[in-house]
Amino acid sequence: MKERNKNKLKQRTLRQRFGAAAFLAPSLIGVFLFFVLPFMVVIYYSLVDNPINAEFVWFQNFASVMRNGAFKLAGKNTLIFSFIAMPLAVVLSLLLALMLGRDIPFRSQFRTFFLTPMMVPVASVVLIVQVMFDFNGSVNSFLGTFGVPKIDWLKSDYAPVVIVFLFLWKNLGYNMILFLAGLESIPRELTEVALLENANDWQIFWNIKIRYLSPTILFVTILSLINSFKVFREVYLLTSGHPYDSIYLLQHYMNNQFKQLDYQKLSTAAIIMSLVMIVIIGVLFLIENHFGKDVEE
Amino acid sequence: MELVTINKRAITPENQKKVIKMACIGLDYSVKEKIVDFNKYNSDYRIQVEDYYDKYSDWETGYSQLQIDATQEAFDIVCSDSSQGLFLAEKGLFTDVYPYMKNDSDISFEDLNESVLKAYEKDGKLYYVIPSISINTVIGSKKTLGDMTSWTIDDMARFRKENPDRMFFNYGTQLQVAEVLMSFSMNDFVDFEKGNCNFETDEFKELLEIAKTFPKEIDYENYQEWESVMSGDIMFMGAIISGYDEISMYPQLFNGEVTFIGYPSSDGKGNTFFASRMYGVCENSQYKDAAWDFLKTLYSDDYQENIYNGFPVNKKVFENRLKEAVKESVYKDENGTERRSAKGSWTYDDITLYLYNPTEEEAKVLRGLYESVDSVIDYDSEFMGLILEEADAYFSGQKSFEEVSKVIQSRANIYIAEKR
Repeated sequence: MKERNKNKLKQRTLRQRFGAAAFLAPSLIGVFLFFVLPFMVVIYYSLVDNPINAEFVWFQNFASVMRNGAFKLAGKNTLIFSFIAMPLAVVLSLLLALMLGRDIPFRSQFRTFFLTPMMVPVASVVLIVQVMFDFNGSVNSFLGTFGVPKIDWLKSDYAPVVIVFLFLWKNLGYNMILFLAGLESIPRELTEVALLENANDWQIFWNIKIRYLSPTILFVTILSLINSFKVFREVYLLTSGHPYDSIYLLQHYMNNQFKQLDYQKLSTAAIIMSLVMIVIIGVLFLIENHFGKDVEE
Repeated sequence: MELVTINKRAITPENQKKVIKMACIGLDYSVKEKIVDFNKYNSDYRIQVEDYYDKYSDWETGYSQLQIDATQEAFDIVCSDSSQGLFLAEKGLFTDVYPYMKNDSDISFEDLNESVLKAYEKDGKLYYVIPSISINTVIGSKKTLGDMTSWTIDDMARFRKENPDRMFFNYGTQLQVAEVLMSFSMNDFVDFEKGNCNFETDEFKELLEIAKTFPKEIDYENYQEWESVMSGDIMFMGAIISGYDEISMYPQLFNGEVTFIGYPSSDGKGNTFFASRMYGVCENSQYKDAAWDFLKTLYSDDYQENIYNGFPVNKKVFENRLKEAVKESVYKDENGTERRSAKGSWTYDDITLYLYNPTEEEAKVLRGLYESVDSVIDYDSEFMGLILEEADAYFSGQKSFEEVSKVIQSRANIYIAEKR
C-alpha cells in the first residue's frame, strides 16, 4: 500500500514537472534563441582572428583590445561617466521624491514637469542641446553677457558636463517616480513610533526610510547604470562616431569597430564590458543585502 | 555579329555547371562580354553576377551592403574599386594572386606594370587582379610653370600669393583645396603604421592658411569651368586621364603647351594613379582555380588591347597602342597639308574640344606619366571628413588655429588608435 502511494506521488510529481516544463518551454526557447545563442556567437567571434579565416586565437583578441589606446580611453570615460552620473541620478531623484512626497503646493504639476523629458523624442533632445550648447548657442550667448569667452561645450573638456546634464534631465523623472512608490510602501507605523520616541528627521530617514528603500535604491542604481550606456545615442547624434576624447565612450568604440567590419574586436569589447557590469551589479547586490537584510527578515 | 547553335539538353546533377558567384557595384561592358564568353565556352563552370548597384540604386548603400555580405556570404569573386583601397583585403577576404600570376604560362608577368602591382601589395602579397589604371594629375600652362615637373605646398603658397584672385584646381573652395592638399601630404601629419599623428604643427597651419585664401563657396549656377580655364581665371586644373586621346585636350584649354605637374606634395609624387576596378578571389571560395581562370582573361592581350576606359596594365600593350595612336594622328588633306585627325570631341559650356591621337611629343609625355606613377592616394573619407569638419570653423573665423588643431588632434588620435 505504502509502495503504491509512493509510486502515485512520484507519477504526480513527474506529471507536474512535465506540465511546468511545457509551459516554460516557449519562454526558455525564446531566451535561448534570442539571447543565449547570439551571446555564444559573440563569444565565438571574440576567440577567432576574423570571420573569414575563423582561426582560433583564443585570448589574443582580449589582450589586443585591452592594450588598445582607444579602448582604454573609452573604458576610462565610460567608468568615470557612470560613476558620476549614476550616484547623481540616484541621490537627486531621491531628494526630489522626498520633496515631492511632502504636501507642497503644485505637487502634481511638479511631478508632471519632471516626467516630461521621458516623452521627448531623441531627435528633439539633440536639437535642443545643439541650440543650447553649440559654439554660437544660447548658453554661450548668455555667458557672453557676463564677459565669459565662448566655450566649445561639445568639443572640449567641458563636454562631459553637457552629457551628464543630458543624462540627468532625461532620467531624473522616472527614477523619482520609482522612489515615490518606494516611499509609499514604507509602513507608516514605524515612522509614527519613531516620532513618539523623539527621533529627528535625519534619524527617521537614515534608520528607517533608507533601509526600506534599499531594494528600490538597488533597482534605480542598476537602471541608471544601464541608462548611462544608452546616452551614447544622443552623444552619437550630437558629435558623430569620433567625438572629442573626453566623451569618447565604449559604445563609440564598438560602433566604429562594427562599421570597420572588425567583428572580433567588437565582440571582445562587448564581453569585457559585460564582465565589468556583472562585477558592478554583483557588488551592488552584496551592498543591498547587507543594508537591507534586517528589513527583509 | 555571331551566329551560334543552341542545343537543348536536360539538366542533371552530372552535367549541371558549378556556379561561381561574383559580387560587384556596376560592371564594365567589356568584363560583361568576358563573362558571357566564359559562361558560353566553359563546360564546368558559369559565373553568376550579383550587382549591388542594381539592387540598391545607390553606390554608397550598395557598397556598404556588399562589404557586409562579402564577409558573411560565399562569394567567389568580389569586384572592388580604388576608393576602398585594401579595406576588404585587410579583412582577410581575398587570396594572394601572385602564385597564380607567376605560375600561369598564359600570363606574361614581366610585361605587367610592376609599379601598379607594388602599389596594391600588402606584406608582399597581391590580393587583386587590376586590368587597367587611370592617371590623376593637375595641369597648368607651361608659361606659368616653366621647367617645374613637380611642386610642393610652399610652391603653391607662392603661386597663391602672386595670384590671389585666380582659382586653383577647378572646384577650388576652401574645403576642397584643403582636402586636396591633405590627400597628398597626409604622411606629413599621420603615421598610420606607428599610430601617431600631429596636427598642431606649423606645416598644418600653413596648409590651412593657404586653403583659407580660396573662396568659401562657388556659384555653380554661373560657373563655367572650361571657359574659366581658357580665360585664365582657373590657373591649374585637376584631371583624370584615362585615354590616349585625352592628352590632346589640354593644350586647347590652356591655349598653349601644358605641364602635367600633379598635386602639390612633399615627395614630388603629385601624379598618382588609381584602378577603377579591382577583382579579388575570395579566400573561402571552393572554386579558386576556376575563378582565376576567368580573371586571368582580363590580363590577356585581347582584353588589354580593347580597354577603352583606362590604360592597360600590360606595358607592352600600352606601348603598342600608344605607337598605333601616334601613327594615326595625322592625315593629309586635299591640298596635301598634314592635319591632325580628330577622333571625337567633347562639348561643355558651349565650348568644343577635339580629341586627337597624340603626337610624338604628347606620346612622350603620356609615356612619362604612365611610367612614373607609382602611388595611389590613400584616401580615407571618414578621416578626411572629421578633419574638414573642424577646419571649417577655422575658415569661418570662429576659432583660432590652436583651438581647431587641438580638436582635430584629439579626434584623429582616437580614429588612428581604433585601427591598431
